[in-house]
Amino acid sequence: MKKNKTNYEFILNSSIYSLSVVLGASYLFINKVYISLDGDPKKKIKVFFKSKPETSIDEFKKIIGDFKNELLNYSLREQIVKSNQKVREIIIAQALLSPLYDTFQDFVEESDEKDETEDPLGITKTWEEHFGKKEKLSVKKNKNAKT
Amino acid sequence: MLKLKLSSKFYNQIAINKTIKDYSSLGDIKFIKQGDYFVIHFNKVKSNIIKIIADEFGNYVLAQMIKNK
Repeated sequence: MKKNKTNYEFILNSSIYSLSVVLGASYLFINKVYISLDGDPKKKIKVFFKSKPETSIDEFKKIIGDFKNELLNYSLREQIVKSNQKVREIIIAQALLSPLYDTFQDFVEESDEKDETEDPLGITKTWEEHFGKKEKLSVKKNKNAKT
Repeated sequence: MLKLKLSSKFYNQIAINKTIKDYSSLGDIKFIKQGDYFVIHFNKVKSNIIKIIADEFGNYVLAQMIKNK
C-alpha cells in the first residue's frame, strides 16, 4: 500500500474481490477521483487513485475509505446474486409460463368434461348391454348338445 | 508528448476506441499495443487541459467498459 496526499494505491486479492466487484465500486467514484487498474485480474488487482484538482485532501481520504466499503458492499451483492440465481430463474420461468399453463389447464378441464359424457366405443357398457343375456344362454345350450 | 499506459488485461480496445472518438475534438489521440499494454499518445492537446486529459481519458475508458459490460 503506497500513499501520499494526492495519490494512493493498494493491491486486492482477486479471489476475495473479483474484477466485476472492483469495476462496480470504481464506477461510483470516477466523478470524484481518477482511478486506474493494473496487475493480473486472476491474481492481484492493483488499484491506483489520483486526486482530482478540485478534491481536498480530507475528501480524498474519505473517498478511499468509502471505496473500500463499497468493495465489501459489491462483493456481498455478488454473493447474494449467485446464491439466489436458481430461485430467480424459477420465478422468472414460472412468470413466463403461467399464461401457457392456464391455457393448458382449461384445455385439460374441457377434455375431461367431454370424456365423462361421451363413450363412442362403448367401453363403459357391460357384456350384457353389448350382447344381451339370451345370446349367452343359447351358446351354453349349443355346447351341451355337442357333448 | 503525453502518454498513458493502460493494461490490456483490464481495459478493452472497444472502450478505448469509443473514448478516442468521443475525445477527438480535444486533440490528436492515437494508441498502439505494446505487450500487455495499450499506449495512448496525446498530441495537439490544448494547454488548459493538458494536465488532466490523460487521467480523464483513463476514467472515461473505465466508465465505457462498465457501461458495455
